[in-house]
Amino acid sequence: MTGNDKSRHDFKNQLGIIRGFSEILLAEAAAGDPRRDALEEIHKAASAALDLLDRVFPVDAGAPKSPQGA
Amino acid sequence: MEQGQPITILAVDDEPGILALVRLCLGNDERLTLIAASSGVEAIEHIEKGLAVDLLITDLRMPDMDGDELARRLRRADPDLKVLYLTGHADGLFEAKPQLWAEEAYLDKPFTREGLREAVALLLFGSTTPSGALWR
Repeated sequence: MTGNDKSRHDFKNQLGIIRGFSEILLAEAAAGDPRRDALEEIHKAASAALDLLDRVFPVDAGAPKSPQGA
Repeated sequence: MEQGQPITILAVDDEPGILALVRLCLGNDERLTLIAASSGVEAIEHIEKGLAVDLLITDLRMPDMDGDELARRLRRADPDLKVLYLTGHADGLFEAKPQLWAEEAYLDKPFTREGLREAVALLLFGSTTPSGALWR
């Protein structure tokens, strides 16, 4: 595994942890819970960051690419 | 494996947050014991101390020992050990390991609670939705 791959792996792990915990908290939050909006934003942001990671740093990419539509 | 039997899962990942997430995803059903290890070496120590495991959940890429090497070593003592690989890069898994054994599966990271539970149920019970199984 190259240094870039390792960094990508570690970064993806961290985003996955954020998304995973927020997903579980969302599933367990009752309808009308005022914290749902915040949890949804955290979940959305983590999902978007994971998508961005795949586009900007595809696996085995030698160099970062410009994100589409950014 | 029969439903209702006690289940012991050994989860191995060098990232503590992933282990915490696995623990939260699988819940705290009294039939399930989850042992966490932060490395392949630590996992092997648990086995050498007599831990009997029904399922190994392991990160594929770890600093001291990769998950497929860990599984290979544990299978020397337990050839029927079930293994779920967690990988953020499935192509990498198949580069090093072109064939999965019957008792193996892999799950892409990041995973969802439902995805992890289904993969565990599939390996342990042969079905993603066993009636009366854990988490119902």
